[in-house]
This record gives sequence, structure tokens and C-alpha cells, in this order.
Amino acid sequence: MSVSTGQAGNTDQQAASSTAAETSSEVVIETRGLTKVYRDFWGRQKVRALKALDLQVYRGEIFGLLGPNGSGKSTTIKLLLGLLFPTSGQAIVFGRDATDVENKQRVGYLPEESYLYRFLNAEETLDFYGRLFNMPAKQRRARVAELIELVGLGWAKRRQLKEYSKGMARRIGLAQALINDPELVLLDEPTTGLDPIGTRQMKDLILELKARGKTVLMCSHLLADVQDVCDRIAILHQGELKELGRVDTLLTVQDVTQIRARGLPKEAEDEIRAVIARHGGELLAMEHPTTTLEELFLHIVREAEAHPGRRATGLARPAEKAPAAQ
Amino acid sequence: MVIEREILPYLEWLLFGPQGVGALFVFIFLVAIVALLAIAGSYLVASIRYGPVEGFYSVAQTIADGVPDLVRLSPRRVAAMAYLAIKESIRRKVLVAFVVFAVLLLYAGWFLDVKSDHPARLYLSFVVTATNYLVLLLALFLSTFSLPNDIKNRTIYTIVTKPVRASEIILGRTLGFVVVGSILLAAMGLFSYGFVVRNLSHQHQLDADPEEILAALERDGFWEGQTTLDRLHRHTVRIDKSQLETLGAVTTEIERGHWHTVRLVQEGQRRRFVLSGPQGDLQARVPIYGKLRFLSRSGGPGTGVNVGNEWTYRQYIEGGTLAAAIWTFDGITPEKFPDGLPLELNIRIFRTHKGDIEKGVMGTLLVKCPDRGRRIHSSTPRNFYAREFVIDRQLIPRKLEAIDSETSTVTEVDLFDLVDNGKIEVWLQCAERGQYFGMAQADVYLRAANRPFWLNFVKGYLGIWLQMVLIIAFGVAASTFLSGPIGMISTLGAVILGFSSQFVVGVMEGAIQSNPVLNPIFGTMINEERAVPGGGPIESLIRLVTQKNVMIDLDLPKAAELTVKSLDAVLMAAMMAITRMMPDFRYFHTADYLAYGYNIGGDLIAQQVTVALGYVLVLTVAGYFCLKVREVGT
Ligand SMILES: Nc1ncnc2c1ncn2[C@@H]1O[C@H](COP(=O)(O)OP(=O)(O)O)[C@@H](O)[C@H]1O
Ligand SMILES: [Mg+2]
Repeated sequence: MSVSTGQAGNTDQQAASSTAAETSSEVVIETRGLTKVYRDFWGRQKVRALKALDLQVYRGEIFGLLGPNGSGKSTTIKLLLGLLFPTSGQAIVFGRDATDVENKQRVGYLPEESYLYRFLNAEETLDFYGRLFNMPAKQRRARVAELIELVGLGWAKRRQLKEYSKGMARRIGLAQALINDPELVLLDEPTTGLDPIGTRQMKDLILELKARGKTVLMCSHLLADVQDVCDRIAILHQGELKELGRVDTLLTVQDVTQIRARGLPKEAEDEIRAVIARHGGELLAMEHPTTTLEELFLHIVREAEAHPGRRATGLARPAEKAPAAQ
Repeated sequence: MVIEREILPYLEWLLFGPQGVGALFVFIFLVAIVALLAIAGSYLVASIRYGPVEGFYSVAQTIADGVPDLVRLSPRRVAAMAYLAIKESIRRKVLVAFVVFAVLLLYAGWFLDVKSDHPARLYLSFVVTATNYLVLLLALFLSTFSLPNDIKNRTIYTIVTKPVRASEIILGRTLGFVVVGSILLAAMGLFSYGFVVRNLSHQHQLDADPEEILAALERDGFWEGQTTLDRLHRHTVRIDKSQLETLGAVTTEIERGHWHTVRLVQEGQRRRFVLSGPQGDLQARVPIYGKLRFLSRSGGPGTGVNVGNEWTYRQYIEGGTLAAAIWTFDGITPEKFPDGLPLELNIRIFRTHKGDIEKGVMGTLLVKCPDRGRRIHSSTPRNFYAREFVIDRQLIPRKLEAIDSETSTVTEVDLFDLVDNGKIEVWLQCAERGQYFGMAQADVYLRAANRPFWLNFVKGYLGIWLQMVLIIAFGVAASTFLSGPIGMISTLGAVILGFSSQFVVGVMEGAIQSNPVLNPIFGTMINEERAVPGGGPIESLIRLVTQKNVMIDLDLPKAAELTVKSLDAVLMAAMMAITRMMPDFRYFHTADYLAYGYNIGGDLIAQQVTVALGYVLVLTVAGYFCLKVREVGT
């Protein structure tokens, strides 16, 4: 997850739009009337977690499942992995039933929490999962080193996972999901437990995966995460599909035009006001933007890394080192 | 004694078995029944869940998928799962078991009876039993808790979403635990061996001045005396000058299951007697068994007597009558037995009066040629004293006195003059009126050779190892659908049923026998000896509550009694069906062979390995399907 991994390390929207065109029409995931009812030991119905979900995910896109807690996101992902069996309907991955062992060769999965063996260290963990893919020793060693580097855990690779913080466990969880260089990556709440840098790196990585032609299905209740990276989203609520579509079309407000500029003198602003008034438009706002806390935080951390010991300069002040804010 | 069960040659056992049905066919039959039941059961469940057609399809699909999954295994993935199981075992501190064992041995020295008549038996039984239970307990814990923990902690998520087959998960786990168990067992075995040898080893001196002994040898040609008292015993020694000179050594009398050899060594000017360490206590005898038949008290062919609450396995012959026990041994050649026939007798005694307790009961022993047409076909009888629980050794020498049937005189013959086509008969009779000798086929045998004891020790531990493998396979299979504690109890139940299968069958037969409806139908199939009176679980409970012993009537209304008895018969039949599925764990318990110094034969080991393999195979397949159809994501 080092920032250097991607050309996609620019601003998110740019990357997303530049690669959006690569999405093909090949269906990777398809659900047909997928329904899941959790039952208790006696077969009595407990929860209807998913109700007749119809979805298609295409090769090369980043698909987001959005919804409040308990809306059936994890259930959907588990059904797609064959961890759960559908009560009715079908979950089809790569044209086969979700439980087919062949699929698992091409899929990577990051569970909701890092369910890993706490008595193994990072290297042993990845090596173990590599063996499960029947990787020869040499290839495995190279891949393990590469992934530990990628998720930035080189300094802790000999420590047992029980000593890991939640964010570190999350990173190693991601590494195990990528061990087989999967075509399809299923990420269940990928950013929970990560610090802002980790969150940004995770998002960059997801975009990077897309850039390399992978398909990503992620679920989250953090709207910002989904908005930043996803091409298309589905919104679930209590197991029902409420909305499905492209993020950009869903979020564009058609009757509002936004103009942003830098280095404009005061007089120019007045002129613009006049132009809007002349065309009969209504000026909603003209102001100096504030940045997000995330941007500020990231800026400060990068500054601190570049110049250890110095107090970082604010982002809003016109400093030449600051990256173009928005 | 030890071998109360005849060990058939391997192929005979596999193809024909003791009742004409070979183990292989029993196995195939049982597997077919279990498989059919399992398929029918899963179809029932599937058709309730998905409807009859879809249900059929899903069951068929699961079975069809199973074949490649069970055949195309990746060694690397199995090894990875095994490695995980090993790591997990180490984390769960299995080594504690070894520490417990070591402590047990350290303190055992205080508790084991030092005055025992057979210290070797005592020590061997102790170490083997201790190892057995510890290892089995460990195997039980490891195997039944592992998979349920994985499911509970959801670590299974990251496993089953990789291209791992359920069969690889099962096999890998089994393999990993077997490796851990084997290492522990090997360590315990080495420790035990050292423990036994160290505790048995001791030295004696001759309890006299060497000069005196040498003088006596010069004067009388022999010396008789005792060794010093060490480890609470001493041996009587008779040194024969001629024997010492020809053989270089003499042996002491046997005491506490061992003897020592005595040598004369020259040390500069002085000569002294040196005694070896204990010999003969750790051995592995290879017995050659004969076929046994009995003569009745009037001398005609017949059976022995049953002296009461005894198993028919062993029959009794009455003393002072013509009743005899006759063993026919086959394959007797001068090459095999150049010095004569080394017989070992191990006779039970039933006394109707006290007699001479010290001396034992007198019996006679003679050999006969099976071809009675020969002029000389019988040796003269020789007397011996049978003592209970002692293996009596009798060498039938090459030079024998035999009876010339024409002149009724005694002549001297070679032993092999009485052998016809490799066959010879050994006759045993009890000479004292009112006393009985009890004998079974395995009680008298020819001791052909001694195998190295350590090899026998390894073989004995192989029996424990196989039991461990079985338990691990059971535990892992149970853990695919049961939670940890329940899986453990079920596995334990299976083992106990396996140990007590005879008893379960007996209770069932007893329940049928006392049932007025069922008895006329099945009564003929019942083994009277085995049937246990007192009824099945419900009847026993009633008897327990109403304090009625098993012999008196239940004293309920007729209809109620019949209901209880029929329910019991059904319950017991179900229990027996389960029992029949369980491996007979006594089959693997070879501690007695070790302790009593009998070689564990290749046939027995081959049978053990076959049985274990069969179960592991079936359990792996069963575990595979259980795990495969299990929804692990909840
Ligand atoms: N193993 C289970 N047993 C019973 N109910 C469950 C189980 N797992 C999830 N649920 C229920 O199913 C619904 C959907 O859960 P989930 O898919 O985990 O939601 P989320 O969208 O937060 O990931 C919730 O109401 C939850 O309580
Ligand atoms: Mg969830």
C-alpha cells in the first residue's frame, strides 16, 4: 500500500474517470433472485437478510455495495464466495455456481474482520495461503515478499499476528486476499480499522487493481469511500436493493453549474456575478473553498515525512509545496 | 493367559474370517449399508429443503463432485493444512502431555510393587498402558476441537475461499495431528524403554567365596548355592563343572521371570565368577500352535468339562481319568527343532480339594505318532507339576523312551521316529483324582524362536499408534458437524463402544432371550454363553429403582413387561448396530503380548493396519461430505 504503487495516486476522480472506459460488458458476477434467510438450529426462520437480489458486475469495474449496518452486504459477499448457501435464487461467479472450487483460483477475499491464525507471523501466514494455491516455493517466496512490501508491513513481518493492531491485521488480511493475483477481489468493509493514510492507500490500491484490469466488489457503510472509488453502486436497505447505477450519474446535480478558478482578482469575481445575472441565473455561492480534514491530515503527514522535525504548514495557505487542493 | 483369541493368517482373515465371511466382505457390506443410509438421509433432508426433484439433483451433484475432490488431492495443500495443524498443536501446548508422562514415570517407581513376581510384566504393562491412555486422550482433544475452533473463530473463511478441497482440509488435519502424536509417542516409547530396562537391570554375586566354589568343583564336580540378595530376591545356582567347561557358562534358576548366566573369568592370578544382568525377562517368543482336541473321561473322543462360570474357550479335563487334551503340531522337522521340542505349558487348574498347594497338581505328558499303525508310536509318560499362572517349560528331548506295542517293552527312540509327515501329537492328562486341568488351544505351544525384544516393543507401540490414528480420524470426522465438546464425547463414546462390543451384544441377546415374543423367532441365533441376563436399559432402570436383582421376575403386568422388553430389544439392536460400526479397539491392544513376552505376529499387525486403514478411509470420506455440505459462513 505504499503510495508509490500507483499511477492512480493522483486525485481519485481523475483516475476513476480515466479508466472507466475500460469496463467491459463481460459479466463476472451475477445474482438472480438471490435470497438468504438465516435459520436457527431448529430450522425456524430468524432473519431475512437478503431479498431477491438481482445484480450484475462487469469485468474491470469497481462495484460498491452500500448500506447501513445489517443491510445484507456481508451476506451478499458470503453468498458469492460459497460461504453461505442461498435459500433461493442463484449466485453465479465466472459463469459457475459460487460454490465451485475452480472459482476460488481467481478470487480474492478480504473478510469483514481479519480472521487469520494468530499464532502465525505475517510471512508464515502469506506462505501458508500461497501453499493453498499450490504455488511452488520459489514463486511463493517472491510473492510473499512483494505483498509484505505492498501493504507496508516489512518492519513487522516476523511478529505473530496476535501482536498486531487492528489496522496491521487488516493490511495482512488484504495481502492474503491478493496472494493469487486474483481477477476478482471481494472486499468487505476494506477501510474499517485503517488510519487515514491506510484508508487512502487502500483506495489507491483499489484503483490500481482496476487499472490492472481486475474487477472489485467492495461493500462499505462509509459513503466517502464508496464515492471516491466506485464506478457503480448498489444501495441495500434491510436486504432489499434500493438503488443501482453509475456513481457519476447518480450524484450529478443537473441544474447546478460549478466554476472553480485560482488567482482570480476581486474585480473578475464581480464581472462573473454580472454575467450570471445577465443570463438570468441565480448565484448560489461564490467563496474560497475549505479543504476536507482528510486532505489536511494527509498533507500534514506527507510534510512531516518529507521534513522530519518541522511543523507542517497549513494546507489552505498558498504554499508551493502543497499539492493542488481540489 | 494372553492370547485368548486365535489370530488367523492374514489372507484367511481377509477373505474367509472365523465364521466363513472375510473381514473384507464385512467391510464392504457395512460401508454399503452406511452409504445407502447416508444417501437416503441426505435425500430426505434435501427434498424437504428444495423439493423432491431439486433435492435429488443436489444430492447427485454433491456425490459427483465428491469423486474428483477425493481423488485429485494436492500434496502441497494437504501438507500446508498439516503444517497448520502441527503449529496449532504446539500452540495448544501438547508437550504438556509428555511432561505429565515423564512425571508419571518418575513417581511410578514408588508405586509399582517391587515385590512383584513378574516385575517385567508389571513395568511393561504400566508404561504401555500409561502411554496408551495419554496419547489417546491427547489425540481426542487435538482432533475434536480444532475444526470447530476454526469455524467459531471464522478463520475457516480464509481457508474455504481458497481453492482447498474439503478432503484436503480433513486429510491435512488428520495428517498433522498424526505427526504430532507420532513424535510424542516416539518420545514416550524411548522413555518407556529406558525406564523398563533401567528398572529391571540389577546384578548379583555368588553368595560364597570363589575359592570355596572352585574347590567344591574340583572335589565334587559341582557346586550348589545361591546368589546374593539384590532387589529383594536371590537365585539358586548349580554350577556343573563339565557344563561350565563345555559351554563356558551356566545359568541360575529362574526367579521373578529372569535368570542370570554365570561365567568364570581369569583376572591375572585370580579367578572369579561373574554374573550377567537379568535375562529372559524381556523377550519376544514366537509360539507355534497346534490343533487341540479332547478325550472324554472314558477315553472316547469328546469335549472337556465346563467347570462353572467359565468361558467355553477353555475346557477342563478331569484328573485320574482317561480324559486328555491332545495337541497335534504340524511342520515338525529336525532342521527346525534340532534339540527336541521346546514345549511351553500354561495350564489352568481347578481344584475340588486343596491338594499340595506348594507343589502344584501333577500331570503327565507324552508324545504320540499320529500313525497308530506303527509298532512304536508312543513315548512313555513323564510327570510334571502344573502351577497356576506360571509358564512351565518342558523340553521333549531327541532321545526318548518309547513303548514297543508288540513286546510292551520300553526302548529308546529318536523323537523324529514318532513324527509322521511332519505331524506329532502331544498328550496331556491330569494325574490327580478330583483335580482338573483347564486348557485352550493357545495354552500349549512350541516355542520356535525368540525375536528381538525391542522389535516387539516397536510393534506394541505400533498398536498404540494405530489406535491414535483411528481416534484422530474419528475426532476430525466428528468435528466436521459437531461442536468441540460434543464431538469429543461422541468420539469417546465410539471408543468405549468399540472396547465393549462383546458386552453390548451380550445385553442384546439377553434382552431378546427374556422376551416372550422375540425369543421364539431369534432364540436359536443366540449364544447362551454370551447372553447377559437382566434386560436392556429400560428394564435395568426398573430393576435398579425397584431393587430387583437380575435373576428374579420383573413382576409387572404382562402387557407392560412385554412393552418394556420389546423396547429394550429394539434399543439394544440399535446400539449393537452402532457398535458393529466401531472398530474393535481390543484388537489393537497388544500390551499383554509385550508384557508376557510373546512376539506380536506379522498377521496380527497386518490385520491391525488393514482395519485402521479401512476406517481412516471411510471416516475421511464421511468427513469430507459433512464438511462439504456444511454452511461454514454462519
Ligand atoms: N449468522 C447469522 N445468523 C443470523 N442472522 C445473521 C447472521 N449473520 C447476519 N445475520 C443478520 O443478517 C442481516 C444482514 O447481516 P449482514 O449481511 O452481516 O449485514 P451488513 O450489511 O452489515 O454486512 C442482519 O440483520 C444480521 O443480523
Ligand atoms: Mg457486514
